[in-house]
Amino acid sequence: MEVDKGKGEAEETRKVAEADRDTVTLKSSDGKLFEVSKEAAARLSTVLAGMIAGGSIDDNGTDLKQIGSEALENVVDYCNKHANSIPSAALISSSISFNTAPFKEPEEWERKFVDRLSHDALFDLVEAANFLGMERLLDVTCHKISEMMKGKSPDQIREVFNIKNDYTKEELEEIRQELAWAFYDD
Amino acid sequence: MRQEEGSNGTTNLPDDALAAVFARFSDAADVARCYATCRRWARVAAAALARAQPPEIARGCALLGLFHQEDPGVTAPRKRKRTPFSGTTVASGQPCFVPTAAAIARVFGLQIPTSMSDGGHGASLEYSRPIASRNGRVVLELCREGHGDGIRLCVFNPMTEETALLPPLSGKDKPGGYYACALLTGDDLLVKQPSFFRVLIVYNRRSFTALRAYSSDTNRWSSETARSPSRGPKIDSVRLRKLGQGVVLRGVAYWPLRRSALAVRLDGPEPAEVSMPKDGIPSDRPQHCRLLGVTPDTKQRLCFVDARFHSDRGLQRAGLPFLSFILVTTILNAGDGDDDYDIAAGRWVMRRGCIRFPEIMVSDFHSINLRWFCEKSGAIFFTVGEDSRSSGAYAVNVATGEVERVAHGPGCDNWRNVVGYEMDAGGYLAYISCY
Repeated sequence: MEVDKGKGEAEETRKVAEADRDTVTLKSSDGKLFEVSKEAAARLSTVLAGMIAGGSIDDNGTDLKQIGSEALENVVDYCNKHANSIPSAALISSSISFNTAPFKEPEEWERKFVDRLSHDALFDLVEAANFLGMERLLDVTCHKISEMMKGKSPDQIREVFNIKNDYTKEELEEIRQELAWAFYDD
Repeated sequence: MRQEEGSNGTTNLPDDALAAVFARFSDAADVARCYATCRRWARVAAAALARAQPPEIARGCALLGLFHQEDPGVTAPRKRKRTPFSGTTVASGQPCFVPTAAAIARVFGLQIPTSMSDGGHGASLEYSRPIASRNGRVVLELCREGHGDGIRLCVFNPMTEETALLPPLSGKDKPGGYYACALLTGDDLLVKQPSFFRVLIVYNRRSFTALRAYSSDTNRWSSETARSPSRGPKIDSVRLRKLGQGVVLRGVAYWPLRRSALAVRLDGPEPAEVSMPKDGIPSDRPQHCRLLGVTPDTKQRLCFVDARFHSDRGLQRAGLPFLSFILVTTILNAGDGDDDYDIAAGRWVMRRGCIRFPEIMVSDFHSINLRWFCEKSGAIFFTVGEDSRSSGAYAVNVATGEVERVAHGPGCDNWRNVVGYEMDAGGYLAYISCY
């Protein structure tokens, strides 16, 4: 019994060591470190896949200067959740560019994942997904943002997105006339 | 928390991310309203649409209307009059534009310029006649001042006023008699260059039907190709004269024949006829009651639409307009997708359901003229003649059955050379953003 347990512990340690080598460490713009499974990173991000294949991954933390810690935390969170919830067959389609593949509606967990984010966190995540070449995450986040714009008048959109109207009154009137077909309800 | 912090500044959604969001809209009106929020969003909306148009937006039509002539052009006396539609003074015989309600107010005054520089050939657009239209451009046949030999075509973009003048077809190259014409643009042939186009004409020689195409990349007409007897006999000259609109689908132009369709592929500079099922198109209607079109769903299949009449004896006895009509669609079932579209092995299948027009009664079936099928918006233009209380021009959406009257009055029945005009939302936004 004693011997067996000891053997089991040794195996555990070896597994952890292996798992260590199976992750990559990412460093946010503000210097925080995040670990993500190498396999998930390579499958979900074309940029990270390229870096892993090209050997440009830094064991002490690969610098991602464009991405803040909050966004990077969400990216890593998404990678982990994705690895847990989607069968590998579905992952193949996520590597196809959105221009050629029809957009697949967000899954329930993806919807929840983006719903809990603040506007700024969501926008930062779009940027991060864009930067890292994560098509599926880009799809899901953009889908969420487009839903925030759909069916709204320009005024409502400006309010939601804090946009300053920089058109002159005349220009605005001209646009309204040009695009009269889009302004049926206000 | 950060949401509140951000609310005192402007949004930090960068251009790239905005473009990615806009590309995911399925309704062009949503993009248009984003366009109206601020200058930066307008720039991104226009650029995103110009770069990569998702098919849903490309199909969403921003501008829809028709060009026509009120008189048979050439012989019209030179007088100037006001048309009720354009709101501007035009010469009779000059093509007029009639927009649908969805068309933008700006184009109400849309005019074809009355003259253009063509290197001194004496061509005038004033008496030009529209003969084909596609993806925002119109093919005009120019009338020469001196009624000289040969035909001269030009491809005109009414929004940008760009014109491309084609080399004349004269002498032995001149098509004999009537000819049918189709326009194919870069979108049809997967050519990225925006100014690219090909023009196809079909006409009769003494013993055969001939095909000939112009390509803007070579800037010349192809040689004349005779229709192969294996594909079909010479087209009857009376039918050829009434062929009307050539519908374009996946780089092939189609015209309705009696039982089948004439199909000409134009992915190269030389036209090549494509085999079609020998029959299957309802053959017992006159040509003015039939049109080819494209189904408005994502499968985009070739379809055939014809008008069928029902008479009401009671109304006839009372001396009132007694004919009502319906539109029936027959679809060419030939595989499901782009790669799987074996037309020759396809079958024409009548679709269940039809579009009814309970408001429109006529006394003579000649009063109903199906004029044009707008492939992008899925609208059919038709005119109703003077024997009806509902005379005028109409647009009907084949997907929804929604009918819109775009012009009133019996005059519409006399319109000649009617071509539908549609421009996609992406192209339109790109256009006004340069404006």
